[in-house]
Amino acid sequence: MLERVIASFSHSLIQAAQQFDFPIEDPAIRFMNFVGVALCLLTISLICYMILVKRKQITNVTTRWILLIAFLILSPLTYIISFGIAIEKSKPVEFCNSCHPMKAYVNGLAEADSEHIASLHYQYRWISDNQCYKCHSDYGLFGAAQAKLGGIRHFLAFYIVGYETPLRIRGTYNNQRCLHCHSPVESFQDISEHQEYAEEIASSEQSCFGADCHVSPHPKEAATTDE
Amino acid sequence: MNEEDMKLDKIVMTAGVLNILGLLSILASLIHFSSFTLVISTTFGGVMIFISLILYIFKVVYDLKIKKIL
Repeated sequence: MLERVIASFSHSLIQAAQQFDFPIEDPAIRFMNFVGVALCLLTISLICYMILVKRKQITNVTTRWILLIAFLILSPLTYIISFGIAIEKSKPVEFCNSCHPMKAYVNGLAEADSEHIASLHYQYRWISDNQCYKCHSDYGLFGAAQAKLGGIRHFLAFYIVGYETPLRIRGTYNNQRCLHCHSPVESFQDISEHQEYAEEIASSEQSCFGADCHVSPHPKEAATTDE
Repeated sequence: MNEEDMKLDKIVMTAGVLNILGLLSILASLIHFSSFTLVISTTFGGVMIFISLILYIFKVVYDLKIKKIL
């Protein structure tokens, strides 16, 4: 009885949260986006003015200095700012959902009563935000870079090379992504299988899913659904 | 303008056009962010800006060599 009350209460909480689930844009990103646009427009105007209006004075010292600043400082700075913004803006679930093959996976996240691991992490907010990114990128210095390189590969597959269904994860899933949060927790350490296969789990030789361990992260149908 | 100046002028023009193309692709991703504009701005935009930078550095070095400063 108590379990049912708790389940019903948490279910209504999830529904309420989903009702107000709108992406909150980071003010710092909004500001940097504004700076990026301003820098971009300034650099384009400067270069246009120098190579079109002041073309006859292109050997002039002032023109040379202005062009040097535009080419050597302003343009690379704009690129770096836009690159930083792009990395941040490509983390939310909504961005992953912008490609058709991912729609079935993202729909699965919000599916009520789903027992799949990704869905539980999403619905109960065990991972507060950017859920796709956090489970599909490694921790550490190169984790984000590797994830973004993977994103470029996805882009090529989606727009140019093509892809095969059922979709499969590339290589072996790195268990360290799970262990980063779960391994320090006492309830994780208390489970005898976790202790027995600690090395295999840590090296990703033994997957966390299947083999009577945990439910698959996503519904199997998602891999074959191509909306 | 002598022939050398005209040659340098062409290099600067090319660098300018490439730079503007690169910046326009970046501007597109800043105004309308999507997977397409993201990849175009980071790859195409980056390459364009890099080539324009190399061209301009080449022009500066060439210019300095003509004036026998380098």
